[in-house]
Amino acid sequence: MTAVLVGVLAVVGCSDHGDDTTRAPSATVRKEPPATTTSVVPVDRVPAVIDVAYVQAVIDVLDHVEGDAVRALVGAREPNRAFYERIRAIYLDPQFDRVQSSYGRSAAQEMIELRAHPEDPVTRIDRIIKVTGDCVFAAVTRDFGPILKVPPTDELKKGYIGFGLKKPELDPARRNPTAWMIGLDGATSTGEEPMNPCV
Amino acid sequence: MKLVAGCVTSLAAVLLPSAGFAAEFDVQPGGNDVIDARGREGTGEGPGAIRRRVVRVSFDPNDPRNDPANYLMDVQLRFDATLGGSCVQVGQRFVLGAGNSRAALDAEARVLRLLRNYPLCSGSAPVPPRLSAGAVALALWRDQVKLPPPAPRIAPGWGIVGKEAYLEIGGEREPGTWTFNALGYTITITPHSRYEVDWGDGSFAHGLTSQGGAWPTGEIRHPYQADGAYRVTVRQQWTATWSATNGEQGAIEEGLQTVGTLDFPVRELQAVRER
Repeated sequence: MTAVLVGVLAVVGCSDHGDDTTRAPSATVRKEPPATTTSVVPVDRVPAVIDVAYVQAVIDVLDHVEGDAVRALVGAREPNRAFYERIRAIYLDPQFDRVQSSYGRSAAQEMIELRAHPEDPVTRIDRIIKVTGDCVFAAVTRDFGPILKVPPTDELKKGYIGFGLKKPELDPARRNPTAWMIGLDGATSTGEEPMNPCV
Repeated sequence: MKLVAGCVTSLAAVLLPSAGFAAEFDVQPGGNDVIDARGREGTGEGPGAIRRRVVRVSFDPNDPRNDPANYLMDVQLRFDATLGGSCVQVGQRFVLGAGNSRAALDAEARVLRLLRNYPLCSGSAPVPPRLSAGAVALALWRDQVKLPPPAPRIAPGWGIVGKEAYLEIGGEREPGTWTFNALGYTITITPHSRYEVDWGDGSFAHGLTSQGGAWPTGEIRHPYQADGAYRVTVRQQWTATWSATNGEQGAIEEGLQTVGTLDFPVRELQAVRER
């Protein structure tokens, strides 16, 4: 999918949710991956310690939801409710609109850029950069090759992802079982790491 | 949106998409004299921290973003939760020099096609009141012109190893013209074609303008080196020219293809000497 350079100051993780049980203002961060990961990570809540294993578990689930959305889109040959509900459930504004637009352009061209049998995108959390009570910002390797006919280059896979706390009202059908939504997904044009992604 | 102090997270960076789905940012065309920086006013937190800061700059006629020729119609198919179905969202995208490109024609033609099946989304920009003749011609070419398939034939229906097979391609290579009255235009489309032949044994012929013929004068021929059952595939590649009664004319480079196949057995003959 061709992409045009953009000027963005994105707002991530502004929680106007009413569910205080998911908030963890005192969350701390472990920036390096754990030596081993053996337990099932509960992604439906915010733990006291947010580490790579937890964020990886969250994005794995969100990637699967997005894969389901794209499969619904390709299967129906047009954006349908199954597609919309899932994308709406995993992306915050304004990222939702960007994602919806990208898929919408492909749909307007008879799915020209999408695989006939799309799988889930694959995201690896490389490093957590910042965590606050309602924001997680991480360096990632994010691969949409399983969805796209022409897979992105390795360079394009490198970027950053920002999570904000989930807004339940955007997911009435409960398509997103995690406590998070994606508020930002991209790479800086300068190649430099964002200085203060979570304020 | 109710905002809790301290919950605002802003990223002050210019983002490029990380896999093609990320940060595309549509800008309104021409006269875009408002930049919404979405930044924070002041440095502290609290309610003031989340007010949008709007920076007004003067109009610069040399700014390419103020030139309508640098905008492309942005066509999307979206799901409208209120309608319960898909709809067509039309907008504008900044693409340098794209205003008069093939992509612009393509986008116009795409809108035309989609609006036959879907309503315009409630939040969509309006469709231009009159699409260009070129876009209408392209849409007609894609949807209305019915092109004939090639009909390959090799007499007598089977071949001999080492001997040339003579291909005859039935059907029309220049099937005349189509004239349409559509969207305020009277447009005549004239298709042109060339052939590609896949002989089924790994050999190909491209760019053929002859329809071949039978032995011994046919121009499209091929010797098979081994016996077997081959599938000969003829692909007829179509382009077109168009003209409108208002004097506009052009070429349609978007190729269409029709295909014909022929199952063709090739046998090996051996001479037998009788004593």
